[in-house]
Amino acid sequence: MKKKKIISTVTIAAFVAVCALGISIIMLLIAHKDIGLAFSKLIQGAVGNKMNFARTIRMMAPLIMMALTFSVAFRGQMFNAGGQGQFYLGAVSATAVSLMFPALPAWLLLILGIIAGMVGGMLWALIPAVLKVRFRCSEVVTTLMFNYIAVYFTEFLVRVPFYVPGAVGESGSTANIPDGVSLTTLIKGSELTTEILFALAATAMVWYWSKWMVSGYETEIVGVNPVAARYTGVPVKSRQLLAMGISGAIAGAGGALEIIGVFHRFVIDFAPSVGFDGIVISLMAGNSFPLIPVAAFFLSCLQSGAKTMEMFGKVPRSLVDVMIGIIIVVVTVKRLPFAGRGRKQKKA
Amino acid sequence: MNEIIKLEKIEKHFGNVYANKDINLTIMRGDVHSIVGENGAGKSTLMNILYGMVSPDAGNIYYEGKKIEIKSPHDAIALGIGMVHQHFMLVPSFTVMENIVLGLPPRGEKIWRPERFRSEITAIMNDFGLQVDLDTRIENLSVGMKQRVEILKILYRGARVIILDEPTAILTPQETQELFSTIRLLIRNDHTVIFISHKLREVMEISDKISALRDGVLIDTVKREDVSAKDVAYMMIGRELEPLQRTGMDGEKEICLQVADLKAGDTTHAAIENISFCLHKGEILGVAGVEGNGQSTLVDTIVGALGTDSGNIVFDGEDITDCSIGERMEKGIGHIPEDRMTEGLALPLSAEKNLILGIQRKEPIRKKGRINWKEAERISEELIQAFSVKIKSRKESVANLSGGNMQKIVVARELNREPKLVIACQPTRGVDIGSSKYIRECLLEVKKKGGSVLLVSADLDEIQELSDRIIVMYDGRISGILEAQEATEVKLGELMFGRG
Repeated sequence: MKKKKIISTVTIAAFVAVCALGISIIMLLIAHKDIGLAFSKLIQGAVGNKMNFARTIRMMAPLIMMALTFSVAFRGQMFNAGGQGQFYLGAVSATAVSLMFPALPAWLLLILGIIAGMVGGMLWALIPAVLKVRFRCSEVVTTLMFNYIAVYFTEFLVRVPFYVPGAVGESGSTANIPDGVSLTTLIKGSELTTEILFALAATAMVWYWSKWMVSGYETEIVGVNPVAARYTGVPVKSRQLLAMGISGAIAGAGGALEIIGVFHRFVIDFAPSVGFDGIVISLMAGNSFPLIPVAAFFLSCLQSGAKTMEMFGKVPRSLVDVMIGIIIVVVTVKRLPFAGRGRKQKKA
Repeated sequence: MNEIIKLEKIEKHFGNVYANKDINLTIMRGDVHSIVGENGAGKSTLMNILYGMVSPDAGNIYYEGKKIEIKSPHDAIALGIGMVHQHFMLVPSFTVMENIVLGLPPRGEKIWRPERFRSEITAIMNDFGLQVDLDTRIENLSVGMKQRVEILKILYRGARVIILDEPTAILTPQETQELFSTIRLLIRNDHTVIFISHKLREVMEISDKISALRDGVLIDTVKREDVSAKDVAYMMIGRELEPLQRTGMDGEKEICLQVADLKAGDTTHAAIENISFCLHKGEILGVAGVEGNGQSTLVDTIVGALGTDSGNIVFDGEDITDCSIGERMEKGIGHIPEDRMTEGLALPLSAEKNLILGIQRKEPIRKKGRINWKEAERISEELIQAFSVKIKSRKESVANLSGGNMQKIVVARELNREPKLVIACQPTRGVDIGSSKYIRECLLEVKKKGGSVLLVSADLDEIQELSDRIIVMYDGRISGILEAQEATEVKLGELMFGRG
């Protein structure tokens, strides 16, 4: 039963990829581009050599975190469209902790930074969650709007309390966090750090939670049928808050890890599409936790390959954005021809 | 008398399960022909084939001797075959007339004017004694009246053969009798009725012929005069159905549940007022009444899903008026909800996950904050066995189960917690005879062990069969409390309409 489900999810993902590629080829033809060159550069850029491959894997990390963000909330029937904002809040919290207490030992700042990131992201997610369970505000709207607030709020932080005079400050960046607050580089000369291991660990933890923990089980019931959950004594609201809280904490940790692992300073709106990409990956993975890294790998191949394709394949980057757009459309098509028709109702 | 419909060697399978296998059935003009069978026996599939909703894998259909193909309900209606479904297909905010006319092909006019059809519809109403106010909105009609509109709808489309799918499941005894007189009028006017049911008493009352299906196979077609209800039951389930063993109440009368002067209601719950009663240990208290007279409100206040405006609820010597659902469950209240699909089960999930719902926080399922799936496996396998749930494995989604088996999952889950009080709402609605009997036996078992049951049901037979005392609700109040012995059908019927 379960195996079947995974196989069908994989087939769907493959179908989505093929469709997106097919439509992209047509677009390349219309634009009179060299298809062979473009795609060879795309593949080369994604997995062609050690450095490019490192870049692809490095880009996976935040994508995994953001996909988990969406999937965990979705388990509890909460549509968290605000991963982006929670990510920034986490990133800025981690930066702030490091900048405010530079005297602390680096290992401690690292831990505190991640914790601060989780707390920041969680709080940012819990406000809409409380509004939802208490006042029935649609969390889709509030989380989405909170993304804007997060962008401008972090900009305010960068420009006022953490302003550094000079070019760095004017460009919209904080000062660098202390040197020691960083993650171990896995491939020398690349940006690939242990961040990816954190992301995989987070996947495993979330998967464990959903499968083995009582609260994970209860959240699943709430997500599937909140009425039945309520009638069987499951505290529906607190489970929804929990799902949103975990979701926001993951996004916040994702932001903190990006700062500590790669950027070492907070730049205004430094990853404008991760939240959205996370939703796409989550949908591609059919909200199945173990499949999220696989889907994230696919998308990061595209994004990483796009850089090379743009530079050497004479194809604008925007084409890749169009491809991602196509993926979203194909993913949201619920009834794929081979994915089985709607369940047959057996009745006497 | 001549044959109107003949089904020849009809076959239909879903996956590798036969829903219908080699079915030969002849319906004679002017008969009331009952099709009986348990849930999953293939009744609905067969009727859906006849009505063009499902296409058969093999076999032929003849209408008045001519071989025909029915590809859609549209074809069926054109031939004169109409069907009233168990769930009504009406637009609540439209008037009766609009609903009757809706979907008819336009008669060469551009603007929809249902008014033009008034006289024709009135003529049909008069012919068949189906009086309904044409200008009332559907949402304001009782269930019986809605059913009438459905029948009018198909009669107006020229149906000569009328298929009624479990029509009495939702009716009061009085409404059932009215339906039966309509059926008799239809027959007198040269119509043919196919009556699908598993209520033996009604089948014996109204039918000319009876066909029984079991596991997709037509067991036999018999004339009503030639058989007894017992014979029909045997045809349906393939074994004797023994009557329920009822026990009286023991001498001691300790109180389990005491409800005093309860008042409640909100936008989604019909208001109730002045509700006071007590339920003893080892007693089954039936709650009868036409649906929508406050029974659901009463149940929701007792299980804790709805707050009270005033009054209190004492369970096992403890005031639980302000307790949450979870706390009440903890204290020993079990609840078999009215609507198993929306209130009882997490449908897409497995039977196992549904069976441990409610005990996930207790030993042995909870072990160090984790779910002990080994124990869950043991418990769910045990329950599936004990309640003989027809399911491939405990991992199968409950959404794939038939209504009877879904209900068994809910009952198994609730009784497994060994509650002191079971609140059973429509526990056997849409459930086949075999499972119904089993579920009723379970309730009697609860009573035997000294537990109490509050049985809310629209099925008067069920209430009378099980209850020690019966409360009748009308318009949010208790219109009468009767001892089982004095509760005749007439008396109950009167109280149900507030004419006590």
